[in-house]
Amino acid sequence: MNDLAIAFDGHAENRLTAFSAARRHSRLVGLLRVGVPGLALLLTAGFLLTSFLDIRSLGDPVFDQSTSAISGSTITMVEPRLTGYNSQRRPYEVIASRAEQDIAAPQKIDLDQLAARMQLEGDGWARLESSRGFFDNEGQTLRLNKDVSVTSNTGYHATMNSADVDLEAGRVTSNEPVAVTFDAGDLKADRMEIRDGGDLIIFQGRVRMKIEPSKTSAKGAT
Amino acid sequence: QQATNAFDGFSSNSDEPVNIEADRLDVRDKDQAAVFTGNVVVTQGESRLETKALTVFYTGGATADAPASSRSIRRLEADGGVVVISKDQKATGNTGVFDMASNTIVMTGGVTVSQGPNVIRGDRLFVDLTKQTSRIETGGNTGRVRGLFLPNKGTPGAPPRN
Repeated sequence: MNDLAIAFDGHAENRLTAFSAARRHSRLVGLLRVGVPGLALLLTAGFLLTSFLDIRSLGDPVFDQSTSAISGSTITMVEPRLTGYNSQRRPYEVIASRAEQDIAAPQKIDLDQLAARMQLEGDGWARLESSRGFFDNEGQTLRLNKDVSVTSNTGYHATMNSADVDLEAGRVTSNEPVAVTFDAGDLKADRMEIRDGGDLIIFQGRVRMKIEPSKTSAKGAT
Repeated sequence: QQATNAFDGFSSNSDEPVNIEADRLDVRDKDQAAVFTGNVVVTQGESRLETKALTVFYTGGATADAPASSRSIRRLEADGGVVVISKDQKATGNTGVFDMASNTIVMTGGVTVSQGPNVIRGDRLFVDLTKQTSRIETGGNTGRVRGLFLPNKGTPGAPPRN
């Protein structure tokens, strides 16, 4: 630890030996450098969440369901599958274990065990899951209301109790606690909102971010 | 007793976790900025940075495909009052800007740097992290130096370790 002497107005007698800088970079730099990869991962994560919002901006998706049955006015589809491309020509697939539609209100679809998978650059992928979903084609909204999670092969994982997706406005809101984990740390907040198709992501309420320095250096290279 | 620089509290090779708390975090991909606002507290080990708003400017594509590592932080700005505390060191000012490219920290606006009884005041604290020097300047543009921190060539007799 080298020692910094302070010459105060040049007079030797009131020299203050007050500060010394560690040989290595100052610690504030270190902290910020450590925080960097964690935050960078978060920023990518935010974008993953919203790439699903692009679904609305593509041509007509291919919809097929293996079997469907009609009872009364309800159509039940087993393992329906929806595939298509988003605005960046990324293929995606949405499947559900079951989907129910009322003939009288065909615009509204109830979904069980919904899972959407999005292909990303190279062999990257991202996956949005929710055990219950409610799609309103007219309003172009999707309400995911149980165990919502978004995962990517870049080590990112976000969980929410519920999320309201406004496909038209490109907005996702979750008014319940959100937890985001990435390989270098995690982030928690009471609420989250994604606007303008991902251009703005807002976390509110006791935002707490934790970054593990040891992990960032290892991961930093990927 | 070895006094350490207030900025000495956040060392790069400490592997203690870093915690950032705030009331709100806005990630604005268009402006490539992430803004922590409201009671922002950054802590690592014994070091702590408090401010009202911490803005992180980053570069790197905003696409889902841009691997996280391709993004890097350009600049950090803390404003609305900044306090950096580490062990018995404390540095305060209105704003603090950390520029990665030039590897410098500049604190402005009623800057005080204190350690125990020693207090130095000025208008601007300039810390050059590469050269390991920092200086406090006072007076609008005269930039007259009030307290100059100079690397000491180590204690007499002891070889300087670098």
